[in-house]
Amino acid sequence: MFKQLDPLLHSQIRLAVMSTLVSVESADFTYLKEITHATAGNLSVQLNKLAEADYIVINKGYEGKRPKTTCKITDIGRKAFQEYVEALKSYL
Amino acid sequence: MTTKDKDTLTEMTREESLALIAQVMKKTQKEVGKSTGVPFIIWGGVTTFVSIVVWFALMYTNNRIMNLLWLLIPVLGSLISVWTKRRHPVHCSTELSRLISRLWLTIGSCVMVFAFAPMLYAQITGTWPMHYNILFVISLLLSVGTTITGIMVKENMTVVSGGIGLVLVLVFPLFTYYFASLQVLYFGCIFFATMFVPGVFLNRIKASADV
Repeated sequence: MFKQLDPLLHSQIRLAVMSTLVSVESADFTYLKEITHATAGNLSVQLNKLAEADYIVINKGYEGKRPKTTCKITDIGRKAFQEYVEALKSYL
Repeated sequence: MTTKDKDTLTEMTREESLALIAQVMKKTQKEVGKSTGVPFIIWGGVTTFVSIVVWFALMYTNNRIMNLLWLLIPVLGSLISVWTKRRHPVHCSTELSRLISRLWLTIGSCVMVFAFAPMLYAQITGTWPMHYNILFVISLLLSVGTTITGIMVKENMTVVSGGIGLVLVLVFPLFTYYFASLQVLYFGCIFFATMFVPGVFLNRIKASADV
């Protein structure tokens, strides 16, 4: 029986964000933008979607005088990502 | 669109999804590896350079006051580190990178303590502790630090470099006995082999990821 894919993760940008965050403790907005090749606005929208689903936590702070946004994956997000990968593998 | 067409598209999308996950995770691991290599290059390079400067200064002036030039290491190293961090900020943090930072903070603190300890001994005893070789102690600390870092990041070249450093440190007293005037240069060589070279190897992982 094929497992259903999580529609929230079945998107190039959101999947790239989750793949990054599952590997690290946290990553900043600049790096996520670089790795997803998304525009700042689009990435913001996608990050908010993931945050609304409690898959990630977004921290807005400062590094010196510069604003810095960092993201962290949550336990719910990590579990959702693992289930997504298992579902992908079940199809192949 | 037929069911078969839909299934084919879906199948390709799933394969692409797995490929994307693998690609991103690999790139991120290399990004973390790169951030580990840069401090090695900076501090290894600065120490090697200053060692050469100090050696020339001592050789040509024969004045012990030239030992104050060693202070160029923390000054230049800190300035270059700040400049590098601004130009190439670190974007990801992992528990491993935090542990490595703490390891080198501890080693750096020990280096400062052991570097200034002879002055304290001289104040207490009235004479300079002649059998205390600061360069030997600092080289030992750095070599151990590099070896541990290599083990933590699972980078064999870094472990090997640390090992080479330990061998060079083992030979240090013999070298000093026969070639006392060259010990400062020898110290610089240890830093080149133990920090600068592994830093370049760690950093090249980033270069290969960019290709």
